[in-house]
Amino acid sequence: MLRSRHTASSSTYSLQVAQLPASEFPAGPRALAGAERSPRKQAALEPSYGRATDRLVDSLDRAIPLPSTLRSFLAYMAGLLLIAAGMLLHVSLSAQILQARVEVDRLKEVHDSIQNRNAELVWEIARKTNLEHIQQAAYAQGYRPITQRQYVFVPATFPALPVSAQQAAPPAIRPAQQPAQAGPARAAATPMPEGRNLAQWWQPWQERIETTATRLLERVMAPSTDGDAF
Amino acid sequence: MNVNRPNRRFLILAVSFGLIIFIILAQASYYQVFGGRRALAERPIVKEPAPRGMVVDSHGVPLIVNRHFFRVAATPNLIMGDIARDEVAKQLESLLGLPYANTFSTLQGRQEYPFAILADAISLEEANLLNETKQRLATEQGMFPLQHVYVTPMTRRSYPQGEALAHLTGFVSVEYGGVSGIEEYYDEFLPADGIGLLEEDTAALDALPADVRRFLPSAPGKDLVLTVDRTIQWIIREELRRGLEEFKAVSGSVIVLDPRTGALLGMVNLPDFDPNRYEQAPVEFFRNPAVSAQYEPGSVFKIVTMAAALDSGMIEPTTIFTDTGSYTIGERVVFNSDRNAYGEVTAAEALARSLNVITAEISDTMGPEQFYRYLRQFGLGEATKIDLSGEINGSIKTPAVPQWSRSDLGTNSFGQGLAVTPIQMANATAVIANGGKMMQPYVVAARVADERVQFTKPAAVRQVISPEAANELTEMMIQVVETSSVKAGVPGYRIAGKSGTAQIPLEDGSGYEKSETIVSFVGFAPENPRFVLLVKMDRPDPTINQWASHTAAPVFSRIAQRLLDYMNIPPDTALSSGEAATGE
Repeated sequence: MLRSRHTASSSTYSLQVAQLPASEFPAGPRALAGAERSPRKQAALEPSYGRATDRLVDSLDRAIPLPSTLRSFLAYMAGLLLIAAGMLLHVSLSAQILQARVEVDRLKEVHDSIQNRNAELVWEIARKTNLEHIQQAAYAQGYRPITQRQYVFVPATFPALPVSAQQAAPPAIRPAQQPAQAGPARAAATPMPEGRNLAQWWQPWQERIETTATRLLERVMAPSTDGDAF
Repeated sequence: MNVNRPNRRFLILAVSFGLIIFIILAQASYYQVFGGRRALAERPIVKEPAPRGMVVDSHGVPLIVNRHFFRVAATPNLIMGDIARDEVAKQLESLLGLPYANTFSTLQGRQEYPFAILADAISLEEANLLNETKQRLATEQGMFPLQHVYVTPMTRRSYPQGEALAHLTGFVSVEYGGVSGIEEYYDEFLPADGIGLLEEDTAALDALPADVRRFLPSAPGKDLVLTVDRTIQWIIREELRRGLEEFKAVSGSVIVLDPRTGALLGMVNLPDFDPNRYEQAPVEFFRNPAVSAQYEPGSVFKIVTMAAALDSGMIEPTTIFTDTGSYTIGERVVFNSDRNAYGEVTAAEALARSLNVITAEISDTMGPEQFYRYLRQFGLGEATKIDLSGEINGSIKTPAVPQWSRSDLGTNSFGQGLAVTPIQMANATAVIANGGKMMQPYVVAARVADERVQFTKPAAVRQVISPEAANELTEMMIQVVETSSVKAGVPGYRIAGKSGTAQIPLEDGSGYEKSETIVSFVGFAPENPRFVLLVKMDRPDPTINQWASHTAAPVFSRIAQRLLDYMNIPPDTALSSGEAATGE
């Protein structure tokens, strides 16, 4: 006996399948194909999963009402699509993040590799510029350590130059003809080429110093046009 | 179809799909939250110490660098089956030449484990080859057994200058980190994850000279710039080695300090070791004797006694003493080293002739309180606090110690019966060269961290003696070189210095060795002194010579000459072109 309970105020259906006499389904469900099914027969076709399952389905049906109209069905589908889109977005973002991580890892490997190569280069430079190596190389090229160094002193009465000019000028050398002044000025010394007269060697330096000094003095004295300090 | 009609199947399907989605989401969330941590925990982690920064000399020459080697490791528990293991072993044999049998047996033997080392130090090229092969296979096959083989970098310290700076740089051991020298002293700073700079007084990296910045900052970003000049280091090492060979001395030390700032320009001890192969050297070579070995300085110490007497106003260089050949102080009779009596001599002459009798008399007159106060002022008997590991205090008995007696005052005055370190003696001499002001010695000129640099500012410790006393003593020391220790002289330059020949105390404290000595010479070129130089040699062959004025003094002269040339310091005396100052 099939019993159906339907209340107009509620869209909830409670279906219970009782024992049906075999006469209710003389030809089985297939026999009903094409025939117009009565609600009772339609309901009778619904399988029963036992009381507990039925109660669960009922309660779910109450909690999550299924669409019963086209509009609600469309809304339901839209909701599902939204969830699906969200999931797709999540998967897509995750994939992008993964891809970015792989790229970062790759770049990090490149970075590490460059750093390693740099470190190896630094080591190689340091090893090859080790003074022991340099000495060996210098000896191999015929160089020998200096055993004699000559210093020549700056004349104490050198014409006064601006500080910057003094710094810019090459080391001043005393001509051989002039006697050494008392109190030698301490200055950076340069070796004198052998086989040349000191005065001859001094002359071009003197000219260069004078030219440089004159130019520097002119620049110092000249009014600044662009506002830059000398 | 009647849409109003509830569809039980549809409902069940929806619920089932919902449940599946829920389970998937829950699982995904679980992996998201806990899975990463679990995956990390499962990954084999080999804890390598953080890479350490670079150390360069005062001109930016690399003294300590990192080299990268590569370790080939695998996760054998992910290489399942003998076919996969066979493939990995074959590939590694063809790529890196690793023996097939070894690799296969390692993978098979450790198939339950997540980690196994297959090769310990392959080159950068080999590492690149393996990585490129893995990338190619990943593109071609996606999944392949070799993907469970990894190349991990290993950083190892390298010392490109070899033995030349062994005691200064020290070295790093895999187990203990920095073991000696700079590596140990700056063990907290040098690692990439070490301590940083103090907030104040830092500057941008371009505050460093351009040549120093050549290789800085290094990848770990924690670097040191030393005050040491590797050329000076080279010069002093070469000359010390020559001196040791010439006089058949057992060992020796040379220190070069800038007296104006306290910066250490060079420090060498022989015998030394190669920090790149420290495991092959005897352990006793690791100690830096210049800071961690004490010795009786001998007559070099007389400059301290004279400085105290001059500063206290007790004597002047011209004060006349009468040398009777012996002086009794406490229960001890002091003699001159040659057992002669020199009659009336000035204080300057007493120093030049290195008369023990006069020095003992001066200290006796001065009294122990004042004498030992000056010793403390000169920083003797206490660590200089230079930034090198293993520095010791030395040993000076004072009247506060019960074992002290008045006779100690006499022997201490000429450098016997007390022990100092070479760095203390060099620093005490630097006080005289620097007009009586003691500077804090240091070896690190700048620390670099996180693109910032912090310079060590030269710091005055105290004014030990007056500038006048320092000048007077300097003149007396010049007289020493000009009259007695002439072998220490450098043509064209005025050199102030003092030699010291000290007997070596027996280990049982019962006296001194009969023929063995420690010879030393300390001095500087006094005209605006750019360096103070200490030369010390242990146990020169007595059959050649055992006196400092004939052994340490010529070594001092050769080094001083080369340093003056290298620093481009012109001679003091005015020479005409025909009398140009010459080296040796």
